Amino acid sequence: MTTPEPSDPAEGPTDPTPTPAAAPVEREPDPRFSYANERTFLAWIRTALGLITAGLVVTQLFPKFDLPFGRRLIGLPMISLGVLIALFSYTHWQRNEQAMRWGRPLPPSFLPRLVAIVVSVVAVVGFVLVLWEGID
Amino acid sequence: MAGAGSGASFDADSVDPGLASERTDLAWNRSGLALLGCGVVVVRGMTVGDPIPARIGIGTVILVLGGVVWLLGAWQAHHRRAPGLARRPARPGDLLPVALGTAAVGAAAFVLGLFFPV
Repeated sequence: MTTPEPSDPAEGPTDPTPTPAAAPVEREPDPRFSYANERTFLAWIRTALGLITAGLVVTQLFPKFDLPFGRRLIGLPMISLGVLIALFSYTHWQRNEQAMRWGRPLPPSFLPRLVAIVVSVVAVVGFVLVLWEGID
Repeated sequence: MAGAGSGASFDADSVDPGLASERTDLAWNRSGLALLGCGVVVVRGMTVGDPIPARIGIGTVILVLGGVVWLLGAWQAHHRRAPGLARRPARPGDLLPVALGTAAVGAAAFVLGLFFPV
């Protein structure tokens, strides 16, 4: 809220109390919505854990590719994405919580697009690597 | 769902008294299972590969850190009580350790994968 500016004598007296009709009010959200937000946070945490686990499987359990760093080329981007998602899952939960408290629309999230892009790129890299191995 | 969608006012005892809370408990359980899968892979890597100290050490960090984080999160989530509610909705302090702990597990996994692949 901005404080009303001093009235300009040329314009006559201004309204000293701006109408508070649009002033947002903080209120406790319906707990079911808070639970749903918490479950969404957990779903992102599981997505992060799934990516981290998949990256570990590739680097720790897969046989080596002929190409040096081949396994790391696949596994490390997935683990990195998992770390990013774990961090952003919290900020997204917090943004959603604030939006619900203040009656604002829920903010958009870039995470689904990021996951789609990274997983697609990793899948293509994996496809090429497997194809490469098959040619020998 | 009952018509409390506006969030203006609701009677916590009359709408979905336990199921949303139960679903949330189950979500915590699933998250623990996902972490367990991560731990299984770490243990497998520790036992199949050369037992070099770094691999054992980082693997142990992942297992202990993951276990502590998840037990803390799930335990406090299950025991969040509030008057008239099956559970108290989460506050930032409830979830931040879980997010940071999962990120730390991922960071350790990155080091393991980068420097000590089996």
